[in-house]
Amino acid sequence: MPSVASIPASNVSPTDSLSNLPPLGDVAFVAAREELIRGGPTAQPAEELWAETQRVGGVLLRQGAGFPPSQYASGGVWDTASIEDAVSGWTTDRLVDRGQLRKIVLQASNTAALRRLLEGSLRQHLIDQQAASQSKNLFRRVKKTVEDDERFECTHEAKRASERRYRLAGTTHVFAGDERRLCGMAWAAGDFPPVVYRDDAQKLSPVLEGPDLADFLAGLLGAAGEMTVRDVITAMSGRYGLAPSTFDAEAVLSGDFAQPEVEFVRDELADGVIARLTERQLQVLKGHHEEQSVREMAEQLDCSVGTISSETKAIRGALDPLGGHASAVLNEVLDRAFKDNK
Amino acid sequence: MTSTCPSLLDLGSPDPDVRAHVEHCHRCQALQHGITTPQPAEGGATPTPDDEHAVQRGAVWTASAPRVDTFLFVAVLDVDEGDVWVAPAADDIDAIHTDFLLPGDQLMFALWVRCAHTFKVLREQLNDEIGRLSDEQTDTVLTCVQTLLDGGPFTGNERFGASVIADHDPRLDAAEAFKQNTFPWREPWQLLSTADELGAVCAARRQQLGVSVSELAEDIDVDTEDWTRFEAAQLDLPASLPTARLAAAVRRLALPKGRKLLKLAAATVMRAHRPDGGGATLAFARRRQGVRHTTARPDPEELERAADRYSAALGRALGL
Repeated sequence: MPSVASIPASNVSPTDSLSNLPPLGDVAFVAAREELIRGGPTAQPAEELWAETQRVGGVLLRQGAGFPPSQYASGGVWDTASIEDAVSGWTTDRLVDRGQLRKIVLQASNTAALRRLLEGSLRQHLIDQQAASQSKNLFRRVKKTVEDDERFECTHEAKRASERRYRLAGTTHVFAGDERRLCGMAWAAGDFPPVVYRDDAQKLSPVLEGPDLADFLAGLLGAAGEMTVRDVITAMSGRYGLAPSTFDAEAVLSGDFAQPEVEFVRDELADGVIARLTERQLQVLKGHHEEQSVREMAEQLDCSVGTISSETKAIRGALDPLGGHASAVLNEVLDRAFKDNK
Repeated sequence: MTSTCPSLLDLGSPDPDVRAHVEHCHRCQALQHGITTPQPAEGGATPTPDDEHAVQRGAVWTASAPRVDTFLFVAVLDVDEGDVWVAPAADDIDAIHTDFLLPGDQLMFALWVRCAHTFKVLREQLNDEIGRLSDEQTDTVLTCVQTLLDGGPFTGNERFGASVIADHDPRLDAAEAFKQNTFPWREPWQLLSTADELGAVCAARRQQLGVSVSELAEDIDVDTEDWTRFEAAQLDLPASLPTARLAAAVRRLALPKGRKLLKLAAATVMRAHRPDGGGATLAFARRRQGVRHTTARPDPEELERAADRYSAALGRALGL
């Protein structure tokens, strides 16, 4: 993997003028892409490609459209410092450490595709940043759930809470398998949305909330057998580690949408939801709103029932973080996308 | 966003393709207000397939699809003339037990090779070779693919994703959605594989597009009866259908250009061409004399030469 040091310093260091960098044209892009391919798997993307990532990141966040600060910015505002922080973190975590710039450049045939893929990568980075903070209290929530819920019983006490073993009451089998099987078991527990906020949820909510977490644990322990809390966390990380997670929408949306300033936030959130969805997902959302069956939607959109289920899951990933305010934002999303043919 | 929605940065672009997309896309229309940052364009130089590189089993390539401006990563499983059997690869998936992990140290980014979703592409769709699986990795992938094709269960090992244990595992729906999203890459080969000669392929495509024979014949300026005979593999192509007209039909029907198409054209020539051009007259003369009709058998080598000449001329007319 390339190191941060290998990126031209002039382009990595966030500056006040990220959005003032000249855009990369198609001819220059194609030349840089060909050079990257000719250089083989260890070649580094050219300086102008790094510059384009900084420009795209800067312009997108400064514009705000599709990246509402209430959802994405750490302080709730896109100011120079927060933009530079976000772009710098994205560059280091994704573009460098995970080799994503190389991947994106190889995937794109022109600058329009490059910008689109960079935008998706930046969005996912910002979402994952918040997901990381969400998982901090997962351990505590899991421990509390298996201790409090009568469906579970402790079979082995240990000094360290993570080593305590639990099982679903009435079962006797013990989990014996590797991490891979454990993750498979976590997936087999069923279709649980990655984030479900209650209206009164706090800022740092868990990956799964309330009854969903307990049901998930019951499904996991019932299928896999007795295991430690550490195993449970491993299984959940395997399943939810890369799943789309949550926005810090609750903190902003504590008010009433009737107030003008909150209406602005609602509009902004609708922008963010629309930008996260695909055209097909928007059509599925409309189908659900009109109470169409999954089969009807599949026929209408010329895809399989499984695809509709998958798209529905993605929609839920975008709407669930909005908790009790999701319906208001949803109405705004539908109004905006289908105002002409409702 | 879908693979066709432009970036937010490009929503205000005057580019006709972007404008046409926004006109029909609810998502982009909803986002467009307030976004007015057109990008200066330097021209649409899109990389073209490089025919100089041999395609080998185990190589990882980028593959193109019509009307899609992103490439799909594919691992080559087998090559047969113009047809390439591939397994698609991606990093943004919830991997299952039939997805093989290509570690990040090989391409500088990790990829999952989806052994359960193999398909064929045209050679011309392969754009750039970006890496290679080791022999061992290639064998592992092929073993998985073959096991799945044979209908057997494949449990995988630590190099594969976590097992699917229950039918309601949501990764199965995601895998199905992934398969459907790769349709643009599957379509070119499928379009040319509905028959083993070009006439029937054109007929199937014409019907798929809902174009009538007379409409098409008028568009490309050929006789309706000739086109009907062509679709039935009964038209002597070198004698009756100039390559420029057939090239126009290929464009009108949006058939993928390349070696496979030329091979199909050659097959049509081999089927209906009569090098002497006088078979019908000869048969008529025999019937008049009360001699039983027999089809004159053209010299196979001469037929092959005629087929080669015609497909080469068609290639030139198509700009290949």
